Parts: sequence; structure tokens; C-alpha cells
Amino acid sequence: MYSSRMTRIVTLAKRLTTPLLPDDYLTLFNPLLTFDSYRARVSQINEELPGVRTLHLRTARNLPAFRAGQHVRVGVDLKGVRHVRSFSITSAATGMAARELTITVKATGQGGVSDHLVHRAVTGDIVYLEQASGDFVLPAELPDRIVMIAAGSGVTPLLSMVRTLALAEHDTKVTFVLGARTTQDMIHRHELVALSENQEWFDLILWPSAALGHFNRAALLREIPDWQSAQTFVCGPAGLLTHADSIWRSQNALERLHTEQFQTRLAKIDGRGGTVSFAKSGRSQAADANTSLLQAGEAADVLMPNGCRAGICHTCVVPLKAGKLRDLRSGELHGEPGDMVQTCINAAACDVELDV
Amino acid sequence: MTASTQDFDYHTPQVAAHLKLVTADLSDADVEEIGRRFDAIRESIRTDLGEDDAAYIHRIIRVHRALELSARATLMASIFPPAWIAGTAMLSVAKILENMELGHNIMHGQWDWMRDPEIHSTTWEWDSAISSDDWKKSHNDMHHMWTNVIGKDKDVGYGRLRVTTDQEWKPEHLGQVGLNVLIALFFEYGIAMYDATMEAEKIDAPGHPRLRALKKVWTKVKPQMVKDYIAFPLLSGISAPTTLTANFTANILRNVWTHTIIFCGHFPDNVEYFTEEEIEGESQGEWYLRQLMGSANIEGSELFHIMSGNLSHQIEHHLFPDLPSNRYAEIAPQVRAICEEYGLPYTSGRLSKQSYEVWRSLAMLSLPDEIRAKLSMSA
Repeated sequence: MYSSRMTRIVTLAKRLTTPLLPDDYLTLFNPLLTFDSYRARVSQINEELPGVRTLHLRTARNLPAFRAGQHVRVGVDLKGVRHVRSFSITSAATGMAARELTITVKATGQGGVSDHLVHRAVTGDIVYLEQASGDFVLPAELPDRIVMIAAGSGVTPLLSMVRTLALAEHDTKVTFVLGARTTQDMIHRHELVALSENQEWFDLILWPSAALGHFNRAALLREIPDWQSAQTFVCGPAGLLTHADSIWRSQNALERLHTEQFQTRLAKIDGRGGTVSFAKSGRSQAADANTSLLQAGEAADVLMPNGCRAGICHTCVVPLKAGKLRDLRSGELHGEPGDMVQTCINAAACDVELDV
Repeated sequence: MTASTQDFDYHTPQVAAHLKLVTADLSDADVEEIGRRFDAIRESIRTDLGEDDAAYIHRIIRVHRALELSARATLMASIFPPAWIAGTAMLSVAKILENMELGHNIMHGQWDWMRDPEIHSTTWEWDSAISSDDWKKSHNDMHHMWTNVIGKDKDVGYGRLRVTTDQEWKPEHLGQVGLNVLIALFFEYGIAMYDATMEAEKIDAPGHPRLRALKKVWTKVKPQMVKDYIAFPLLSGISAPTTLTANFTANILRNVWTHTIIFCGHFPDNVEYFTEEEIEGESQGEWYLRQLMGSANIEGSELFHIMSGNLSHQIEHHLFPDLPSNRYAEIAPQVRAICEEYGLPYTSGRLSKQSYEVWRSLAMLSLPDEIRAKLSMSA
């Protein structure tokens, strides 16, 4: 963080600024003069492909060290409202607190954060970050053999892992399957190709699915015969992960499979919703069976923690006080008082109370 | 616009009658339609909120902080009278902006739609003796729910003042004009203690509620006092004593200003009061009507509106407490139009008139009813 002398100065300054923070006055002069928040400036933009950009972010102060494969919540203000999405960090993890990181963003065409970052963001823009989080990480103790399978923008967390390995001395052999419809669509292809040509430990398989079909069990057995001995990291759309899950499960190798998902398919559920009450803010909102608790909370202007909004990053988890929920993905009915529930992929199955 | 032709209208027991008079011409369907029309105004604003509104509040926040910073810097040289005057003036304006246009409005949730964790009702803390928690409970909750309901809305007299003939006269009311002067000067402490005592009385815990309240209030008051009366004075070196008087004066001026605006919101003539029985089973349309009839606007310039935290649009604020304050001026003509159409009251007047009526009422109501009657007859 910062030195103990600085801490003392800031503590004294707080006596002068209370109930505000020294930040609140410093940011009058420069939005990055902050001791308390992780604001960042877009310092550089690289066009990777049409609709895909890499943004270099320089934070106002050191972000605690992140691990390769983790993601970071990025907030931008669109039409006066703060929108936050999680993006995988693509830069290498140095193991130290740092002020620079990169994310690669693909526009979704839905007018949200991704589209803004790809089509409208310019260098100098301010974004609001939070500390990195996530369980999909390069293990601290490196295995001898790693297989990585990436589809579409799923390459992003794996890229961080690869770049981290490229900086270190290690004995790990890596096979990387880079998938997209065509080779033209493959994000970061050039860098990975160059790496495979220069580094003995890195083996790259390009998989254009339009030409070769999906990377299935047969392809896996053929291209990576020793896959069962490896720790495998897969990142991509739900279909790919489900497929991988079933393959690994059939070989009793699930503990060697690690997956990260970016999108969730939400099941439409017929039936009634309920009133969602938010205990801490004293508000409530009627919600139908297809409205997520997160949407209900935001409609009631409750400060709802959220990240990927797809049921994956668990940033939106809040305690359930009462009521039953329906998982929007599976239709499963669940919920006991005290459960920590994700608000983005659960809807109210009856009147529900959340501790937020 | 009151039907009464008496010399002074002290919110007499005609309240109930007056309410019925006003609403006598209104059918249930009318009231429902009025409710719908107000709902429609609310919805149209809600869906229109965007970048311009966000820019407004960000600008006010910047202005406040820059003004305060300049004031504090100027007061470093407060030993020089021109610096004292300029610094105190700037600090007073800064504190007023912070209290009214920022604090009160943000804590109402008016800006929660932005989902900005730094400008949200659940996280905002203001430069006042009252903690935001206590304020939100007593103001957003109680005052806005039970607006002008005698016995439930503590703002009706703050438990000490007689502001309507619906309240029984007691000997302690004799000194209420003087008391109100004190309340005005030290307004933030008055409501802090009152709010905290109310909360403390609700909790079943050992110790006297007032003492518990005092302890809670102290946790907020202490850093406030350290800031204005110890830290900044010390920081200004030889200007320490004058910085202290400057900060003290700025707080007093802010207290008096906020007190004035707040009292003018509900205590001028023609504002209605209600009983619990009357509002039982209140519909949405009836709630709107109670808010309308229980509030009074103050006329003034655009600058005046900002300096009053747009509480000069008290009626619009009570109809739509969680709509951003910068929109009240826009809503006002629409509200007036509905009032004209249905023959509803819309109490409004210049600051001088409204505050005169407030103090005059307080003075007259401080006297026993018989003496007051004699005085008004001879007037």
C-alpha cells in the first residue's frame, strides 16, 4: 500500500476532511489523485481485430498482486449510470503489486460496457477498478504438463497464464488450442504463434471450427494424446465447457479440469415471481419469474454488488434471508435462510428477502 | 386560498373540515386520477434521467469542495479581517450547499439511480452533527411517511414548539420564540439529539435513553468539532482564535439558514395538518394530496433554489422525494396545472412572507388561547 509515514499523514488529513476523505478534495485537481480507490486511466489502446481491442490501464495506485487467470471488475459511466463488468486480465502476473494491467475486450453489440470500451473509449478515459479475483488461476506449484483450450474471447485469462510462464523459468510443457470460427477471428493469434516458434515449451494448435468442426473428444485424443496426464484449463462458451466436463468426467479426470465461463444460458421459466425485499436498504421490488434478483435490486436503486452478471464471478453473492429462489440457468428451486446466493442468475420463486 | 376569512390562520381544528372542503368536490375517481397523474410525472422523469443530470450533481459536488477548500485556505489568514469575512462567507455557502443540495438530497436516494458508490444514499455521510443513519431514519422514513400527522411526525414542532392550534397549549410554550432562536442557532445539535433520543428510546437496552443517545451523537459530533474547532484553528497558526470564530460563525449561519428553509416548508399559513385517524387506509392519491397540502413552497431565483437545496420546491419534494432535485423546477408547472384543474391548494410565497408567517404564528401560539383570541380581535 503506502509507507507508514504516508499513512500517518493521511490519517491526520482525514481529521480535516471528515466526513469526506482526502481523496475527495485531491480528485478535484486530478481524478487519479486517490488513496482509497482503484481508479485507472486508459493509457493505451491496441486494435486487435474488428470489434476487439486491448486496453492498457494505469491505476492511480498499486493494485495488489493478481494471479494469472484472474479477472478484474471494470466500471464505466454510461449515460450517467455506473455499469460494471468483469474482464480477465491479460497481462502477465508478476507476483507484485503493480499499476499497469491489460484487458482485451470484445464488443457484444448490446450497448453495454464492452461496446463502450471497444467503440467509444479513448486514452485518458477514467475507469473504476476493483481488486482482481477468481479461482481460475495458474497453480502456484507448476505441473509438468498443461493443456489450455480457448474459444473466442476465452483466450484472455489463458493469455495471462501463458505470458506469465514466458517470463519465468519452468519445466512445464504447454499445449494450447486456440479456437474460433476462422483463423482471422482468433484473438492474439500472432503473439501466440510467435511464442510457439520461439519457445520450446509452448506448442500451439490453431483450430478454426468452421473448417474443422468443434474441438471434440476425437480431436482431443488425436491432437493431444497425453491429455489425461495434464492439468487442463478451458475457457469459452457454455457448450465447450459442458462438452469438456463430460469428456473429463467419463475418464474420472475431473479434478484435472479447470474451467472458466463467460456466458451463461438462462432458462426461461414460466410461473410467478414474487416481491424481492432488500433488508439493509429497506426497499422492495416486484419481480417476475424471469427477472433476476440483481435486476430487481437495480430497479429499486439498491447498490447491488455485481460483476460478470452471468453467475460466474460470485461478486454478486449476498445472503438470503427468506424465500425460495429459482436458478435461471437450470430452473432448479433452492434456497435456505443463510444461503449465500448469486443475485444475477437467480429469480424469486416466491417473496424473497435478501440481506443487502 | 383558505376558505377562512379569519385574521390569522393558525392551522385551526378546521383542518379536518378544510380537508373535506377541498376534497368535497373530489370524487374517489378524481382522487385516483390525481394519483395517476402524479405517478405519470414521476415515471416520465425517472425514464428521462441521464448524463445531464449526473453532470449536474457532479458539478455541485465540485463547486462545494472547491469552495470549501478556498474558504479553509483563506481562513489560514483569518487574523486579517478581510480574510475572516471572505473565508467565513465562502465557508457558510459551502456548508449550506453541502447540507441542502448535496446531503439531504443524496441521502433521500435521489441520485441512487447512478449506482455510483460514492454518491449513494447508503454510503453518503454529511458535515453535520447528525449521523446520516439517524437522519435517514427520522427524515426519509418518519417525516416523509407521516408528513404533518400530529403525534407521529416529529417535525411538527420537534416535540417542544406549538405550531398549530391542534396542539394543546402548555405553559412551557410561553418561551418558545426564544427557544426557537436557540434551536435555529444550534439546529444541527437540536435535531441530532432529538433523532438519537427517539432511536434510543426504541431500543431495549440498559441505561437511560437520553444518555445512550448522547453517547451515539458524540461519535459523530466529536470528529466534527475536532475539525472545525481544533484542527483547522491549530493549522492556521497565529490565526487560531479567529479561525475558530470563523468556523463557529459559518456553522451558525448554516444552521440558521437551514432552519429557516425547513420551517418555511411546513409552517406558513394554509398548510394542513392531519390526524392518524384521518389518514387511515390512505390511498396513493390521498397520500399525494396530503403531501401537497402539508407543504409550502418559497419563491425565488434559480440561485435561491440551489441554495435551499431545492427545498424551496417543498411541494414537489414531498410529492417526489426521491426524484433528483434539479428536476423540481421542471415539475412545478405540471404540478400547478393539476392543482388548478382540480381546485387544489398550492401554497407558495416569497421568503420574507413565509418566514414572517412562521415567526408570527410561533409568537401568537406561545400565548394561551384566550389571550391570543383577545389580541387578534383587537388587531
